[in-house]
Amino acid sequence: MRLAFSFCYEVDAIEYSFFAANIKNMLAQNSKYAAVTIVSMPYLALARVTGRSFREHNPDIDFFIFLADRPVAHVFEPADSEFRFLNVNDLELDHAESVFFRYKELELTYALTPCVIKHLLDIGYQGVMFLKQETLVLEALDTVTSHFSGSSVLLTPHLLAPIGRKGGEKWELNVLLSGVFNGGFIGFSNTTEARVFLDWWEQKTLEQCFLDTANGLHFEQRWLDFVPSFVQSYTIIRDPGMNVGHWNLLDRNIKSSDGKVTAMGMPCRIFRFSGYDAKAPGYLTRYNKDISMDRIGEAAAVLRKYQKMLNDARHEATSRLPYAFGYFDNGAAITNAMRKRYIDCGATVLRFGDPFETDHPGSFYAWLGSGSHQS
Amino acid sequence: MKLNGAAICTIAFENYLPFVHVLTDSLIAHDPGLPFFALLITEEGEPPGSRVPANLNILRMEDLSIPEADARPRFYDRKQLSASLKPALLKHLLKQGYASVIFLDPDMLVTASLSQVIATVAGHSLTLTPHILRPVEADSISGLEKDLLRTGMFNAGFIGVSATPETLRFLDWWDKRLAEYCLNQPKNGMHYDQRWLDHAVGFVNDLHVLRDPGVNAAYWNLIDREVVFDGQQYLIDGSLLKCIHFSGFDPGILPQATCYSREIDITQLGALPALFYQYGESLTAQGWAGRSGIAVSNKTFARYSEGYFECALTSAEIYDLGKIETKQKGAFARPTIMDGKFTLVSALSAAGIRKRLGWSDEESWGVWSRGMYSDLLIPVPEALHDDILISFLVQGFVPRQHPLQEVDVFLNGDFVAGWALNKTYMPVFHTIRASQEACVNGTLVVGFQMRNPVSPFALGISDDQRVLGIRLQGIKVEALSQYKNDRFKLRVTVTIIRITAKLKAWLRDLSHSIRPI
Repeated sequence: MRLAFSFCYEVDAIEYSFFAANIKNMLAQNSKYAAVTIVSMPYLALARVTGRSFREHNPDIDFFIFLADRPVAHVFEPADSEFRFLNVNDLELDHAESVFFRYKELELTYALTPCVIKHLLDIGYQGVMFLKQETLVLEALDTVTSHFSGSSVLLTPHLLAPIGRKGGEKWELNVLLSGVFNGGFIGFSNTTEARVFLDWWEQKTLEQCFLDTANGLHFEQRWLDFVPSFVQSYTIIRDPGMNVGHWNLLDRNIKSSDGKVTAMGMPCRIFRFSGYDAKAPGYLTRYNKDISMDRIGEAAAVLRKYQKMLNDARHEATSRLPYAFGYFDNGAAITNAMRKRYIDCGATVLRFGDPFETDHPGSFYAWLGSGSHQS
Repeated sequence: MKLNGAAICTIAFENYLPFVHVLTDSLIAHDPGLPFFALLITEEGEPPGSRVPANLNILRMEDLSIPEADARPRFYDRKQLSASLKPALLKHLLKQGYASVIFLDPDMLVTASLSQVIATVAGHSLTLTPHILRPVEADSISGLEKDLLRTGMFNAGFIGVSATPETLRFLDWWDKRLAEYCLNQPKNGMHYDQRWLDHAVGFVNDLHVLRDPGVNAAYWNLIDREVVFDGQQYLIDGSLLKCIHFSGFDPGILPQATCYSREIDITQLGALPALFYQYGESLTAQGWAGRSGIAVSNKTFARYSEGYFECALTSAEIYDLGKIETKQKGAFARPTIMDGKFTLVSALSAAGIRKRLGWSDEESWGVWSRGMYSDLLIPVPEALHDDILISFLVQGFVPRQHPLQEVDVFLNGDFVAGWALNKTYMPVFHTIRASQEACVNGTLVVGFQMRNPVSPFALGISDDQRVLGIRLQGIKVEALSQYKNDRFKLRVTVTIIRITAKLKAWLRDLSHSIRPI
């Protein structure tokens, strides 16, 4: 543990040079719109695949990779220079360390979604597309960006029609518990009402980005259900080729020939591998074991393509990188139980200061060790 | 005024007739000539109401052509049943030829002409109103946004439809879901009919989200609005108030605006208090006796003694009671008889059913509940791939001095039904449904929380000091498919009998037509 930790801090110097070059790159804003994905270092390869497939079909749109982590410079490759990198230091969050500490790795990447979109709008982009990390882009997204001129928010519903299969109501209820819109693809344009919504959403996700469906929470996603209530001009993209994933795959009639993928006869633009686990390559997602490679028909070709791209992006190697917010500054691992303790303390945690610090007596680490929390 | 092919409708149980009266009057005052329909539901065997207003088109459940196999009237309580019939009613009116139809909850009041709203509804497949149009200010209603995540974005008290194929497809789907899943289980994604409406954003292409603060105004969205009365009409944030929703209204608790939240006082609602008091007077004039015992009580802590609770339990406490003993798989060896045959109280223990908390001593006819809370433990087969219907033969303790006993029924700690028991000369079967998921631990805990139990002593009837709520005579338990099968068998038999009769007649005719050569 200690080794992994010190490793990631020793490379600060190289890191600096890489990001200095990147910052120069940043100053030139090449496009009206931007696209962004958010990952921690162990998932860097997923962001690469999302970015590469995006850039292949949309070469004119700037693509950002936001690292919800402390960057480890030596893993970056020359090919990464086609992306713009941002990381947690670019955000101005109140009590940032407290936010980084309280969430698990994936929760944090979800929780930062509104802040990252806001940050890109601040830089000057007129519209920002957010793509969740496990995305494969298969087509140009000009039909999507064309909606930016009249809409503050772009959304894709999980389901476009009732599920007629036996037991369909169970899946429909499942979607109600997860949110009717999929958080894997969203667009925000730089309007006042979009900003108002993002501010409200950010406030919600920084406080409660948890999975607790019985109480109406599904990470960052369920709050999107409020868009039609709060926002005047929004577009629900009802294109069956947008945002195909395990939740609607079986109803979308996926066909693949000559590298062209279609969903219900429409070009398949965005395919999502939500919950894909490289250690179980026979399945599309860890959330539904019914959807195995041999049951998804021609969508299997897309899965194989994704697996190959993931391999080329060195997923095997990058997935072993440490997650900086998983350790105290002395290298001790942070467990979920500790995070829960921290959250249960409520607003009083601020007295600990930076919760990652261990070397002073008033630290959270010292408090944990003292046993006083058990009383 | 001529409104092109539009109609308004509502659904109410007969005890809600005063609300329907007041709504009808308000509608006629602003849109005379607009057809208005009320689906009126009566309990089985109850005589049709004598006070039905003449200016109202009354529909009955029989008019909605609900298939015979549809079992919902058997296991839904009043609120569930009336909510579940909305799509069927809307479909019925569209099929009658109305181009657009608006459903309004009976506790709505029309305060201005709806002609503009109707024009909007006519232009879209489906028109819905969100509960709130902007984030809730921190100090107005605590926890409202999270409540809405559990209960639904759109308020089902207003539904506008027009006659398009897309609308009919949506209503067909909604009706199909509500036939079985019009339940109040937010943790499973259900809140009566309402939560299903959230799917409209995906399923309906031409969905119109009506973001007019003057339509379906209610306590959940009025609190941080500017409300002005200009002598003629009310303006909400500058928009004309067209219909207001008195959800949870009770004249007895004014100035509290609703029985669902103690936080909202009508004096916080700008110029509206006068309208609330007027509404209360109109209801009383129409014979509304008030909703007894529905107002949210102060958080009480149960005192538990001698096997019964003297105070109402909180929902968390009931939830805990529902979990007790269901944790141990197969706590009972003997499975309950699932054949749908009736079991008397005296035979319950032989059938493996245990009366756990809050019961008096058994008597020859059955048993009285005692205290605020009583429950039963019912063992069920674990690997049953079916839902279960449990019917209770019960009556309330309803002497002349105390005519209504209200009971909340809980299954494994989840609220499943609200019973309003009044005077019946025969005990009536009340049925609840347990999903197969609920049966997973092999034991069901059915809890009865009495809202207003009372002792005969307190009423001056006798010196019996037991606090009584319900009298239970027996139970029957059956699998849902069993129930459906029985119906099916019955129908097949009837058909066969008909065919045989026809065949006989045909043979007779034939024999007449054959002449000997």
